[in-house]
Amino acid sequence: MELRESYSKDIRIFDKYFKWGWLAVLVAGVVVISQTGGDYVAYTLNLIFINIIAAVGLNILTGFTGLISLGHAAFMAIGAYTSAILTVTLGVPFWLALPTAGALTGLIGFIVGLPSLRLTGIYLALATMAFGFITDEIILQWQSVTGGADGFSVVPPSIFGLSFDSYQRYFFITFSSIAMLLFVAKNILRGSFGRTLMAIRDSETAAETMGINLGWYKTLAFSLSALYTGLAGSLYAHFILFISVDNFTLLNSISFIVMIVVGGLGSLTGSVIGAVFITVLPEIITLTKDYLPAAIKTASSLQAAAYGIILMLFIIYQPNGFFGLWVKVKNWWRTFPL
Amino acid sequence: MIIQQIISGLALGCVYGLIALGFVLIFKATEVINFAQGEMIMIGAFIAFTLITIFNVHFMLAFLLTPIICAGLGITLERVLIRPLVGEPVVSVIMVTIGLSITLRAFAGMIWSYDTFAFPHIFSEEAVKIKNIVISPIDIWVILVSIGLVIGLFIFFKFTTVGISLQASAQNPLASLLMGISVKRVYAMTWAISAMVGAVAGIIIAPITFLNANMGFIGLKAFPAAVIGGFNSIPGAIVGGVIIGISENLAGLYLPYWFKDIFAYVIMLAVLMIRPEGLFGTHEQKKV
Repeated sequence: MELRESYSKDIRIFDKYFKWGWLAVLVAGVVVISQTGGDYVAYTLNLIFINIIAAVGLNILTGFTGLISLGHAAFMAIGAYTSAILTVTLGVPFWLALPTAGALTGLIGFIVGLPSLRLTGIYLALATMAFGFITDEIILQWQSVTGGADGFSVVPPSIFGLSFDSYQRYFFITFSSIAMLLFVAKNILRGSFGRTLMAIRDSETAAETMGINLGWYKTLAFSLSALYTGLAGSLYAHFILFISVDNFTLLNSISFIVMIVVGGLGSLTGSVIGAVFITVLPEIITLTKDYLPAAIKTASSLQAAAYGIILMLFIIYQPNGFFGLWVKVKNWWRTFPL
Repeated sequence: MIIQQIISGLALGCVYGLIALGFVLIFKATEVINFAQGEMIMIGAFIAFTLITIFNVHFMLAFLLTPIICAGLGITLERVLIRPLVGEPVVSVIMVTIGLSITLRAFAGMIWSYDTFAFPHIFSEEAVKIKNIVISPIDIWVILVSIGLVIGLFIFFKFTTVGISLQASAQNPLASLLMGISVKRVYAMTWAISAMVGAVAGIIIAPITFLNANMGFIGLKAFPAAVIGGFNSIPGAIVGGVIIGISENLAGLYLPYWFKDIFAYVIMLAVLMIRPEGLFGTHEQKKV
């Protein structure tokens, strides 16, 4: 391990300056690939970015604050439907609907987070699961506003007369959103707020003894997490152009959990890796299908089985996810041959 | 009408209670929730189904054999998945059981397909009629089996040495280890018992609901039952289940019909707000 000699060194975004260069290369590479790689690549990239935002949202809550949520798909649904209703029914422009959807979801997250002071562990998991079911049912029954079981058709967004109606164009919206949101998340989490959340995660009693207002910070964490997920929902609605409650079920909440576990709990890089991995997993499965025995190859539930097994393997053997693995390899390499 | 709804709510409630029993058993011993309990029920029902239709085993024999097979499965799952996580945060174990439920459902889909089957059973189809209330025999069986299981488990935990040692290690693993109780064996046994209860529940529920690889989702409805009864109370599971079953049916009668589906979760949220330990649960103060 290298020594960090000052606080400013400890909170730096990247520990080495040349990493900014790598970031620039990555950004340039992604932009070029998205614009030249065809519809399918642009579609996948958009989906990855939306999933990353949702994964970052959940990681703020589960990875950094230690609170589990089985209802994050509901936050995504609230963001998606708010944005859809604002733009289609009320004619609000997209640039205004996106932050409004995020803010409203954040507010609802604040309310849902209120009981988190009383409920911990499994009880919070169950309460958020119930919240998810109830939200889905309300969307389903409130037909006059949400379209109920028929779903809701959304129009592609246009900002100041510029229409983002293709995957390649929409890429610029998701890409700028994710760049901004990751930057904001990094800055919030490396500062005192993020350290407070981590203190709560590591020991509630110790954190409270240090003068941290547990209820306030847990609720804020919920709210911030919901805000991110709501923004992801809004971006998803204008990307997929047709939403229904089937897009926001318990299984979707679980897939967000799989993303952050596989990527690495309590790490933004981990959220990114996890979201990328889980989003392209179906493709990986399709590619490796030919090498599997015939009986397994044709099964329709192959993807579900892979999800479940990956989740279990990671928690048992690699609880820090891909990010933890990367740190391990890096440290091994740095101290080689000692 | 109202009495009819209460009676059928009672049977439905016992179904929820039977599933909730599985949660309670594991929670009592290990303070962990098994999200895969619904899938254990599905597996139990499918094993019994396979025994009866393919191996031509008699229903009663299958009723006895299936819990034994499932107990083996429970022990294996505990050994492979839960044992490595002893001492890890509750969140990790919850996620492993969520992964287990997805995996079991997918494997069941691979083995038995996603078709819906009629479960062969020996209960009479003819409904019993008392005055103008109709009760189907299978409902009576569900209620009887639930009561029998609760009494059996209650006696087991209260009066047998094994049962008492299970309770002891749940309360204080270290002290019971010093008393010569093998905590490892206790954990394995808890999963075995809960899998057996799940198998019995599966066989008795399958004729009522349906036999399908996705029938485990009914387990999600059993969470409210366990919360209301208290996660560490065995009779509480059945009582909670009955409360959910009856209030769900009455909600369907008096409130807009769609409310029926989420009424259980509304009650659960209310209970979690007011009294998270449930009706019969005991609140434990953790030492720092």
